[in-house]
Amino acid sequence: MTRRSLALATLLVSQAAGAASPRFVDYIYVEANEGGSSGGHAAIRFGDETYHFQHEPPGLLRLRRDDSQHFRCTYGALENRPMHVSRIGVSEAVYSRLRGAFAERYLVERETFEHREALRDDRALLEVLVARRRGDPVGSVPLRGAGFFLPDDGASPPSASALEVRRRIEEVYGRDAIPARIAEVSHELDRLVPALPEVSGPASLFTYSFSARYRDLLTALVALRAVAHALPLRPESRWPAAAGEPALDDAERRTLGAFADRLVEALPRLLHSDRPDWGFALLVGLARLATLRESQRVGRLVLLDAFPPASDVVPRSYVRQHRDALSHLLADARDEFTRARACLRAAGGIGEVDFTNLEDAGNRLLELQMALAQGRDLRVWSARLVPSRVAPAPDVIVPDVPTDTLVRALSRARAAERGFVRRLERDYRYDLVSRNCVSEIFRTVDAAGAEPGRHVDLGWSLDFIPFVSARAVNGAWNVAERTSVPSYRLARLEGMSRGGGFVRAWLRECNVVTSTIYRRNPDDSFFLLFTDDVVALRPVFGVVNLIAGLGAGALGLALLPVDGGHMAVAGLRGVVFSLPELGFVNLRKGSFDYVRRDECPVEELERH
Amino acid sequence: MRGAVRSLGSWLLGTLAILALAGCSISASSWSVSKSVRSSSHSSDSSSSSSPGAAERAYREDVSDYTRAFVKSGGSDFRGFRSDVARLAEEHGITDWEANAATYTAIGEGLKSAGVSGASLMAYKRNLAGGDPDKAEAIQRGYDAAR
Repeated sequence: MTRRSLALATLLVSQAAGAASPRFVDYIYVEANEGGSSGGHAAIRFGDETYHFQHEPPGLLRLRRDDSQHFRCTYGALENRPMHVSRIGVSEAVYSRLRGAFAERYLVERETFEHREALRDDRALLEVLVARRRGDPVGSVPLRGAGFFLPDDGASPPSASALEVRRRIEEVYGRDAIPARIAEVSHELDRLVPALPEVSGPASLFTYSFSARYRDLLTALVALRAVAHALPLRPESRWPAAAGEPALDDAERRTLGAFADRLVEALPRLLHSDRPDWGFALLVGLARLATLRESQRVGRLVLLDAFPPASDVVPRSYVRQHRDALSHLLADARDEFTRARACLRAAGGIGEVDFTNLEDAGNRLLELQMALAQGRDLRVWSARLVPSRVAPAPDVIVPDVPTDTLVRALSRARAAERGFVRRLERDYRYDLVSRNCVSEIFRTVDAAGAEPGRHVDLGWSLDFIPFVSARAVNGAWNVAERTSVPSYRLARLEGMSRGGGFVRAWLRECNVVTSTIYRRNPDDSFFLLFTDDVVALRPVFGVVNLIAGLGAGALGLALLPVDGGHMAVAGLRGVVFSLPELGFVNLRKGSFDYVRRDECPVEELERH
Repeated sequence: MRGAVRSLGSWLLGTLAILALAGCSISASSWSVSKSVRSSSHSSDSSSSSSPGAAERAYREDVSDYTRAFVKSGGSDFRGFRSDVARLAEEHGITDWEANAATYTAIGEGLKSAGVSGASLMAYKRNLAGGDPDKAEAIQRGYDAAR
């Protein structure tokens, strides 16, 4: 990957601070681009973690934590935005307090938003329970993990791997262990009394909600019955044996076999675990065991389908039109899978994390292979894949409480949900000046009680603006080094020019028609000329872009019945984002929906 | 009339400039193929510069940070605590988190950084280890090792 690292200055602070500064924190200012990123952005990085506040619908500001390389690839390559990194030298203690403050804020905020989901789940569950009590069989209760074994067709032969686990449970806990546990869990479900959530006042975070308890118990019941009846794995919940990949050799089969044997030993313990969600862990374990035993039997790796139902979907039309991009992704995925598979040959066997990595890499590879081979939609998921196939509970058990209690709880749940959503919208609202991606970084630093330099005061200053904030940081904090990372397009252009022929490369790449780097991205406005690497000519290029936008807008009006207004909107946006160019201001840089992994910017300042 | 149009134009340009310069990134509503196909798991990308053991360190940090946040918020619902730890562990590819000693040492580290000591520490250990001496010992080990 072409990189241009402009070390602007090395401004180490006092010798004393330098001597006691074994750690670095990066303040990152990301330049603007059009659309949702027109305002510039700011982030703070602690090694592998980058924290940043994002403006999200409906007008909320949320703290996000990204893997640092992922952040750089998203903003620097896909969004094609230059980044300016101020590296701040801090002591170990300051580093720890700052990172801890961001991590804690992130986790508390996440807990807060999950509380909103819990209130919504409570309300939805109570609606189902009240309806069932009144004899109305509406609604269902989705259970994670149940989809590996449900619905049970009742005709398939029992699963040999589930029988293995059942035998082991009976050896360890006795023949009655499973029926006894089913009776206990059923009894607990019957006796479950819905909690009455707080309608006003501070919400009780870090609590175990009624709906979570109900679902966990019902999931445990499904898991116990799956073992008791040795339910076979549903065929659609796993991938066919990876026929395109090399067969498992003896060493790999032994490793998988040993891991499966350990699962058989570990799963029975879940029956008496303290964890409330042990039923889900048992279902995943049973499902994995079935695929592991099948892998051993057929000599090829068999994996569960780990894509969650909420996966994003890339439409098949895109898959067909971008086979080259997907082929690169397929090659990346195969490399990842090969790396993950290497653990099967490591001495000492594998642990759960190794197996999850293999499952994750295998799922991404198989999904790409299937989408390309069959020209079908492609499921995508950016978080780690852990199998969790959902199915509705076969029975909705209504707890043995008076109907009035359920109705009262439902009424409270509705009021609590409404009230909490209102409070959330107030407490987490985005404000252009007083609560944005910059202000909250500084507030979190203040709350940590460990300043990485002089205090940055946001009151009565323009420091809330991302690019101004970077200057404030450079002036006030102990900045040891400043680096600029060019946008993806400019880095590629510089690479092309390096061997000479700058003018030729620039002429070819300065416009969207002949550019070999930029491919038209439907997310971008309509424009012809790039203005991010010209200053004097910017207004002239802006005029060309303005005229092009007007033309596209006019053409778009004619195409309205055909393209649903897409061209008209792109033209209009083209006009809007050409206006700043008339005044020497560049916002629009073009963006990419696909960048090869080896072309993502990797900064020299990775090392800490 | 012309003056009105001119002042409206200036206002529009000014507003645009201010919004452009001050606003923050809005989360992308559309997918990007390469962003979504690849895993963005925290410290799990094997192609990144993460050092060996980074994945386990990231897991430990999450559990430790979560424990600190739980204690500082006055949390006392230990079933809620376990449920949340289960979710955190799953994000790191771990479903059998009870069998992972790193979970309990991280809890110990979190208790120390939250300033828990004395009788409170004993109470947390009792509640979180569930009577298992190995887990209690791992919590104590994490607590003692934390700075």
